[in-house]
Amino acid sequence: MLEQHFAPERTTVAGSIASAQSLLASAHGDGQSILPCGRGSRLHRNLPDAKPDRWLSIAGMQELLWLDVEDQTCAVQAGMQVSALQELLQSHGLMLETCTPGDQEGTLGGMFQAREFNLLEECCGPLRDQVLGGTWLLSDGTIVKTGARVVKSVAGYDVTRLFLGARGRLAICLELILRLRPIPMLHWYRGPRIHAKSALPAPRLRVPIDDDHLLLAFADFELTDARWTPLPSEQAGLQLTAYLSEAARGTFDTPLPADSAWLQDLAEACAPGAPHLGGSR
Amino acid sequence: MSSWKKRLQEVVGARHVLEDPASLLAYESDALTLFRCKPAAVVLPADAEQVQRIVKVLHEAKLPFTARGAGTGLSGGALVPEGGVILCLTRMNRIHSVDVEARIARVEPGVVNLDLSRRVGEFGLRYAPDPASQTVSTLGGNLAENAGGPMCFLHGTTTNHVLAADVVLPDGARETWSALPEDAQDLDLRGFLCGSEGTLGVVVGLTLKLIPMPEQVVTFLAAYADVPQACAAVAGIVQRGLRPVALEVMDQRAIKAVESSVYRAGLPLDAGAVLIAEMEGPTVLMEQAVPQLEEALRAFEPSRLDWAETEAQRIAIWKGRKGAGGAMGQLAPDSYVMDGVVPRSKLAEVMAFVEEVEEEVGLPVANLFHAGDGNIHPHFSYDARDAAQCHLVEEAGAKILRKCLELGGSLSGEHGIGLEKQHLLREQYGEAEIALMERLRRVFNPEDLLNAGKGLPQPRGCAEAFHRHRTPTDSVPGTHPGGTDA
Repeated sequence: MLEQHFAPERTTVAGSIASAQSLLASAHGDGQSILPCGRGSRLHRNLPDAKPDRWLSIAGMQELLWLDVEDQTCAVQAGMQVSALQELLQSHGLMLETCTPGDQEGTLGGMFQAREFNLLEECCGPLRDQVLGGTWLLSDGTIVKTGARVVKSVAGYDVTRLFLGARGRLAICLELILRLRPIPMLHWYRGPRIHAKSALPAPRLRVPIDDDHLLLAFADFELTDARWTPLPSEQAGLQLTAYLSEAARGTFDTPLPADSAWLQDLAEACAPGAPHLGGSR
Repeated sequence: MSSWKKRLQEVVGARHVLEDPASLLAYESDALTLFRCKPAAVVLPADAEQVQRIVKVLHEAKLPFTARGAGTGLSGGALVPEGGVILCLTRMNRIHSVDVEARIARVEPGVVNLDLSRRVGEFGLRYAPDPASQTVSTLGGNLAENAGGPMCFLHGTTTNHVLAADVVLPDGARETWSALPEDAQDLDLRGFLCGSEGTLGVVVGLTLKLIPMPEQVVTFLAAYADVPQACAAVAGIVQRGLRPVALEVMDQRAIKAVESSVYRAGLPLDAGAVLIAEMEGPTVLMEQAVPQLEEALRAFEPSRLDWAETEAQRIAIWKGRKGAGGAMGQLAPDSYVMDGVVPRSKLAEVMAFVEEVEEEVGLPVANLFHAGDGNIHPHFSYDARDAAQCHLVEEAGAKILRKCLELGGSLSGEHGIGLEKQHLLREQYGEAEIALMERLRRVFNPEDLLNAGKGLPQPRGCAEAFHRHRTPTDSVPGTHPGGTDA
């Protein structure tokens, strides 16, 4: 289940909220530092220097908690694989509008907690825009819920956004409430970015692949320009995101920014007096 | 004159420090007039550097202070406790730059929302969030409340369009919180700031995402027998996988108010409800999607189905929708605009409950709401001079919000918690969540000088000190000594 390059011998896998709480308490009881992870597939990019005494993997938490097709929202356990959710959604004509380079097999929690680029960002927004709320384990063992199951909420602080992208150093992601969208019926083409402006009519969606190439999507439009290569699928969704993800593998590996000067204070505010996730305090 | 006032005058000039009672009157409430508190002074800085100097003076004097834009907020969020100072940012209304290629604008917080879209329109661009107050409300205020608007159904709320914010912290330090790749920041403090109701820092600059003007726009106006039928049409449109830019419903009372006002838009007076459904996109997509939208609207048997044939007609429809709140002014001396959210599938149920509450309290309610987002805005008409009516509308509002929570929704979709809803927040979140939010606030605002008493539950008495119908107090109990005037 877990990738092999990040010390699986020091990794324990949680299968439920209660077991995650218990594993965290046990590590802290032993005076050990701990960091959360999913299947470990992104750690070399997102936490390259982290050497906690233990990794707490949420890869055992893979359930779809609920799916509301009418409201186009769902809640999942954070250990569910991205590809598994997309496959499930496709049968309902829905998709999660995310696609990260080279990794559709990683977990949803890992994807949203990591600093990943959404290949669909130009048309669908960054990864964080797809998350409506979540359930989190704080370093002192407290469970907190953030956000709401509605597509719009400004009640209280947007703690969800603070936790997303924090690479697990403020809270451990256990469950996510996600915004879904209908799969657009589109024809997709890949071609050089330099020719984008000559692609007529204006595309419905533009997706950057790398510095030189774009994907363009058209609704029911036969693009005959030889500079643009039709993609195998006429439908966005699982096949397209898998194609995109593979095509963009390794192209968005940007250097990690320095830790925020606020990180330690925020970690302390999340769980006063408890060891910080990752071991620093 | 107190030393802090003298120092503020040195920063901005005497004419930009207001302290006479007549001038202060305009700042004693925002658009939710149930709460009032007169500030000790209002200071109007011209730029970010002045804001920074002002905040340092106020921090040293340990005075509570609140940043304010146009004062159009609807939850009492822009008031300051008695003895405090309001930083009114409306003079900071410059659009610094527009990068057409990158589709980015850099602006000051006092820029009026619609002014930005007008300015960038010549480049074929626009700023998407469009609260009904957009002709008046400022972008800084929009950020503080994470403002939405009709177009947010497709384009998202303010947080989806703010790329970076320059912030002056409560001690006067200045930082940029950014999501721009070139700034390479570790945490999304920008996201945490949006919707924080001005309690974490004073925003002195915003970097905003612009989007292209659509190639084509089609606006339908469908008349239905009643609100549940209009809500059913909304659900039907979404279930078909269509992605309109806006889905707005107005009930009969709202229609009549609009049609007898300067916002008259030609809405059908005999309709129980109207649904405004707008679709935008490239022509090639619209050729497919518009007939599907029309079919979806017809499936729910509208008594009339019209569409804007000209841009002028489209503008008139939206002027009517966005002016509806103002048109309510004809119905009664005061209007209490509520804001709650339910899952879209629960819209009909919550609207039926609103009707029950209306019958129970005996005060008229008009409904206009962002149906696509499940975001309701019942408008209660009442007379604020009658304390019993004030009590009734507040009780009615709380009942409706509790129903929203019961149906899996939220206390606010775009107006914020402010003073209005803080006593209800514990019904949406548990003690652990509230305590976490309070601790996170204190990381940035440790002395609670900045916009004290807003957004989170406060000790009993703090919010009540702002209440116009309670006995006025000399200071806000338990929070601030009222500053050092020496």
